[in-house]
Amino acid sequence: MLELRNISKTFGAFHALKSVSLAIRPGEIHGLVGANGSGKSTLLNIISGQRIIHDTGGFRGELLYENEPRRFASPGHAIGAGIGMVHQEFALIPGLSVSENISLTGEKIIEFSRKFLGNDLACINRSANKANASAILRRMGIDLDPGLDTGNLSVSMKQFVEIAREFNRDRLKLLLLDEPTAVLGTDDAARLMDAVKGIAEHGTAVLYVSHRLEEIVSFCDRVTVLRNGEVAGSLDKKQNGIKALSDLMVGEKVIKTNRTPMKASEKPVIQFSSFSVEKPGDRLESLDLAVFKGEILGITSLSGHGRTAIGPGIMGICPSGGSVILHGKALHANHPLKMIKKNIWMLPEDRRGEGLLADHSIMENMTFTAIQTQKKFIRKTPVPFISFPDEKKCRAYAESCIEALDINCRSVFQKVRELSGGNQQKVCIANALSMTPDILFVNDPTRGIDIAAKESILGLLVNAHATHGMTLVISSGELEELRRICDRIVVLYRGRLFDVLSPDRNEKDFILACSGIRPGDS
Amino acid sequence: MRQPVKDYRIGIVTPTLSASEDEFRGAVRVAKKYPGMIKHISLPENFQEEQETAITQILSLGDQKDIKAIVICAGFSGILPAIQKVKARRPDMIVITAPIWDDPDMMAKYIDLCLDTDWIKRGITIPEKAQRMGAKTFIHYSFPTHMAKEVLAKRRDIMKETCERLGMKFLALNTPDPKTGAGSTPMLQFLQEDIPRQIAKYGRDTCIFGTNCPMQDVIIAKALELKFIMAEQCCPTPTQGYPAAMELEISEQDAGDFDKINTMIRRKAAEAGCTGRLSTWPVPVGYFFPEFSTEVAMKLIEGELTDIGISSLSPMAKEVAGVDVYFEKMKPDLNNYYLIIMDSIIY
Amino acid sequence: MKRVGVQIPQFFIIFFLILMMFLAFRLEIPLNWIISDALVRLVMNGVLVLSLVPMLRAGIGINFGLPVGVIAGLLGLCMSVNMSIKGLLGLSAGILFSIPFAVALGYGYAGILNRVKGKEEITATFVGFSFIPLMNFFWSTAPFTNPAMLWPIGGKGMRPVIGLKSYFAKALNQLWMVEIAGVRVPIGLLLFFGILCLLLFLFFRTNFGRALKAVGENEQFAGLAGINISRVRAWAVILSTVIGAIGICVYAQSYGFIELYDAPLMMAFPAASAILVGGSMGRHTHIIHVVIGTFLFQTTYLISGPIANELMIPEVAEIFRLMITNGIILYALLYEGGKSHAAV
Repeated sequence: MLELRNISKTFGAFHALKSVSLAIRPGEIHGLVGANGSGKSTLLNIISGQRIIHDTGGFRGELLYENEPRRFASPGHAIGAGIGMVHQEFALIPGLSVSENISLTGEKIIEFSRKFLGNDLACINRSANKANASAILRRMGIDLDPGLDTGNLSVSMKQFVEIAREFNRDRLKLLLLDEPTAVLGTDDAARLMDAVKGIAEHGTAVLYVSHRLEEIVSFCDRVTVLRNGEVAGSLDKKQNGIKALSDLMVGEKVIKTNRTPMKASEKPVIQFSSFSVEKPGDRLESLDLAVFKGEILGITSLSGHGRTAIGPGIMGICPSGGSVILHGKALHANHPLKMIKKNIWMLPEDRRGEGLLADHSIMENMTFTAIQTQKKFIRKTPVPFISFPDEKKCRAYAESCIEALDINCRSVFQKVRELSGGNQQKVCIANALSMTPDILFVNDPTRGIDIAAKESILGLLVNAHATHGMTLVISSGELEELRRICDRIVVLYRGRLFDVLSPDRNEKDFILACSGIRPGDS
Repeated sequence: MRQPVKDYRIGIVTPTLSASEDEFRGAVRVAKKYPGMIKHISLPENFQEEQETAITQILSLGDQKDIKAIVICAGFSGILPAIQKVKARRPDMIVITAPIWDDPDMMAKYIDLCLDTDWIKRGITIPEKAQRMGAKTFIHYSFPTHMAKEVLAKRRDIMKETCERLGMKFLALNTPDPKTGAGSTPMLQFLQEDIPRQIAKYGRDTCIFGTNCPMQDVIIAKALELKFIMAEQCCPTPTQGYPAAMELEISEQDAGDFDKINTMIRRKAAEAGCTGRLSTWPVPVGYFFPEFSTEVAMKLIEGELTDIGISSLSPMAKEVAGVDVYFEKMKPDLNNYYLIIMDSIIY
Repeated sequence: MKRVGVQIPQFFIIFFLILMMFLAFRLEIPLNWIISDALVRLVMNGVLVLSLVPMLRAGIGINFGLPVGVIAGLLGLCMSVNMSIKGLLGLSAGILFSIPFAVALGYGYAGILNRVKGKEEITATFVGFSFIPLMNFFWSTAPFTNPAMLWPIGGKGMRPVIGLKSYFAKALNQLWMVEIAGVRVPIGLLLFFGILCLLLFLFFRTNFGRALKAVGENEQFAGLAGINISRVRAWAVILSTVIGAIGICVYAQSYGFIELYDAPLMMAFPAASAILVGGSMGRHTHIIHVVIGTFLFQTTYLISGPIANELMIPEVAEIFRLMITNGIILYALLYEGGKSHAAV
């Protein structure tokens, strides 16, 4: 059916996949698991012919589809060949009804009208489509009126409609599911899996990507585990077990602790109670947590489970609810300026999008926020309301930062756009440090940064913590990094606090916790 | 100026004030002269889009029994169908147009008297006047979209012929086109810069004529400065170009009093040392037509005028305008379509 | 360090300009006149073009609502004429009177633009267009009393064109005018423009100016840095409107007339063309772009007319000029679009 032979893919110097081989038989449900960044998405993109693969130079190795070597240049080709893909993000049209969405591009038409109007203009047979849609939904075990507007459906129903649309295709031979149950509750997930099993019985092969190990175990015929772009192992149904899987995902790693955890001060500097944040795609629900003065707190979860929401929530960028107590006083998070005045700041995960002025110089980026909000580095003029930045002080600060943070650049006037990701992150940190915040929220500090730079970023954060005595709240998907520098690590699952673990706990415990499983449960 | 009230009314149709001040104020003036006898209506501003409304308005005039004559001073085409309908319902209704622009033969058939300015003949009269004023060179400023209009292109050709006949040098110069792109601003700026160049080249005895209304402000202002000749604007009237270029301060009670306005212009011209260099028609045709047409209509209704012809129209026109008005038949075989040229005033 | 200067399209237009200069020389069109006029044109349009910069920098886009600022300026000028203030004082009074109007109108205009983020340019165009008829109504009933500004026949309401000769026409143009080698150099006018450019340049170096640039470049970043984005954008719009008002004052004194009613309708387009010709790419707009763009755009206008008339091929020259200037604008828009595309 589908066979991958020695697939390799590089993005620049980064090896996303290293000779991955994998085979799926018709009617088989094949699981694909791996930690963040292990290459799962890249593999799916290759199979479904996403443009990004083609645009970044294609891939090496052989892709055999129905025993023929194929290379899908666009998703359209893959769809034409009978490959369906359900994405994490919804690709539904909100204004259309459920049945219209399901039948989109595969509408049943009135034969009679096609004769003289042609294929494109033929009249759509609404009742047939509706009947067809409800048949599919029934087969999936969903009770849903196909006439409803898709825009008003709940998240889980949307996911079902999305999958139903793939089911509707006549020649569906291979279905790729990318974490379809991430947004579903347990009951819905079970129904979905039943429906998927249903089509697998009709001979469609399924490649199923999920972080929920228990689903994989109960549901898949075979499982391939990826680790750092390589196949770490392949298990079939009999060997499956959550322990076995997590062993494979983790590999044999020796963790070095960079830092001895400090003794937790008894005094909470900031306290959250039933704190919720509506961050699109990363919701946080009723968090109860106390952060102690001077600690480094790690927050981790799978992506989409709320780990990056707390910073934007407290800065007032995303709407939040619940209460926050700072230094014993209630705090109303509503505007960044107010938080900066309280010496709280955040380093966003999206550096280019939120963290930097890419076309401005290093110096301007490092001093911008302090100039604007704290009136540092400023030369006053006799005219009211008009003041100029003090170029000398700015430059001195920028140069000291370049040296201290070891930023690789030509001069303080270089545009940050021209810097590498790691150096950009350092500029962000310099900007944050210029304000000497008491509490700094850091989101995914090492995302998209090469390994050498990762080390120095982590070093910087630890160093800043030690010298300025600031409290750091670092959220990251990189468990290993968190475990090296944090005093405590909060694990979120589905937007709620699942557990608070000590960094010297076993890595497997973290992986299980991220999947919502306590050690000893299975 | 008040006349005895009679038992009938006359309808006058003009564009709105902002579309064309002359016709509108002309009609208002007649309404003051004959209080209670004039029904003045104005056509929608964007006539081409709201032709239906315009036709309905004219038809409603025809439905009022006491209205015995309709005077239409519109300067549009497309009004003839309304007139045809009025005539079909009220064959006795007298209709005078001054002007509308539809097919001349059809107009002459349905309309009692058609009047218009003799746009083409001005191709002869303007250069002749310019020569009388001392011009040796004649410059004609225009731009492609205007020259694509038959009447304007024909007038330019006739001007050229006339200039050659009179031994004047004729230049047709192009300005940036105000109908494409950025409006009239580049055209006016071009004139500001080009006129001094041309005068430096051809001397003061040059007559400059522009085919587009906004040009006149600049041409007259430059004439005051450089003392060249401006024989006539595109629409000859003291109220075009002169007020802005000379910054005429016309008080409210003097507004519309052309004798006073002309005196004022004469004084300003003398101050600038331009006596004998500027000229135009003493009354705007748009202002003259409503009153003149109404007078003709009244005489027709009251039976004082039975035979329409040059001999009968000329004295009436002179009385209204205060200067000689020359009539000419539009076509030899049309007895009720006349084109006019007014005598000039030279300041 | 900063790459600001000349790019391919600017090379193209400069080449065209040089070609025309050469032709003008061959055709014995007096070049000193042309250069004198070019200097005047640079400033008379330059201030209006300059008014686009704050909004472009703040990422709001081209100020197609320039008529709003222009109308504020016209109001100020009319007030000055109404009081019969003459000479440079009259012009200064006109500018001074227009600033409060510009601030007030700009504030309202900014309110509208802040509600339609992402669609500012088209909204601005419509604000400009719809403001004109409203003002037409105002002009025809405006309570001004100087008879030199009123309709000559009706005696009420404003004339479409008001002559300024006895007030302050050319007041700034004539200031410190010197003749160097047959070229009249309006030093006062150039100095005025220079100072205005310098002030704007300094403004962008103030804290607030930096905040404005940051908002234009990255709203999320600016928001996170505690900047009130709506307020900064509003000030950018107000600043653009105020400079627009000053621009029309300079323009009117140079032109010698105040033009009311529909005249401001199209004002934004030549200004937008000029700044694009100068090499402006959205928020990557520098004051030098204004100077280069206005000079190139206006000078091609200036020179193509006489050449065409000399060569007796008026249409061809006009077509060439339109092709080149509009082609450059299209290039600028495409290039800008392509760039943002590539950044995704």
